[in-house]
Amino acid sequence: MKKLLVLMTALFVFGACTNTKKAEEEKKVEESIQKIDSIATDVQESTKELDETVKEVEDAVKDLDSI
Amino acid sequence: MKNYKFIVSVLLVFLFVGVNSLNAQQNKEKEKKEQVKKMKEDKEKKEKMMKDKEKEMKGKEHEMKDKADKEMKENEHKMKDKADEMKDKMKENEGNAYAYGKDKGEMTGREFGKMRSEQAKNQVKEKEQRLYESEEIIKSGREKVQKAKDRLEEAKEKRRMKEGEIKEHEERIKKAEDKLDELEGKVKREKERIKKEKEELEKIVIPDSN
Repeated sequence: MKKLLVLMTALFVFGACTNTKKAEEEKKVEESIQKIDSIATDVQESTKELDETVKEVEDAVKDLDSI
Repeated sequence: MKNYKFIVSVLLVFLFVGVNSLNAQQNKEKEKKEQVKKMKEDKEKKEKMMKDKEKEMKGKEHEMKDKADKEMKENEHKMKDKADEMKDKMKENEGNAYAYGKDKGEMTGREFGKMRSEQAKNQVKEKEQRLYESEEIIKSGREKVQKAKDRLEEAKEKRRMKEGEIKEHEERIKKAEDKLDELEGKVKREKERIKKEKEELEKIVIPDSN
């Protein structure tokens, strides 16, 4: 009976450790995703800004056609 | 009595294990919900960007019809191709976004991370393409400015224009030059920035196995 109890406790401890390890790994993956997302957002915003400037330049250059 | 103690101990162990798994499951669900939310937000942003692009394209088309300029027509074709490319990319991305929403249980955090990483890399590539196009625009813009300057000089020499007109044209040329300088500076800065962003993306490694 006692042996069984010790075995069960050992199993429980093992399970708890595995869960903690998994949780840590998942946290790492989540952090990576957050970093990727932040870079992607930066890229998107800067591309949009660049597009706006390009449009302004195109308009200004087009204005020269009538000279 | 011994049996009673044993049963209580086993029940306690199961209770602990059960609470642990429940907590883990709840955390996973939360994470997944957050990820789906993020995907939806990204999708909305992309759609907005596409709409802006389409509006720009429509505006451009009208202007083109008025001017019927050959050079501008070439640009229009280029822009159309770009819009089509963007649409195709959007479709691809939409497909991915919905896949995760539908198969919540099938996609793991790692798979999702890899997908996001790929999307980010594609965005970086797209930005590089835009930077290249911007450089071309700067080049052709500088040429046009020079031509306009030459035309204005000629008009000045032959006294074909009034003082006011000359001043107005000079202002237009200056404005175009300023805008070109601004774009040139931006392209330079963005080139440095994209280099760093690329390096950062490559540094982020999502492990393959569990």
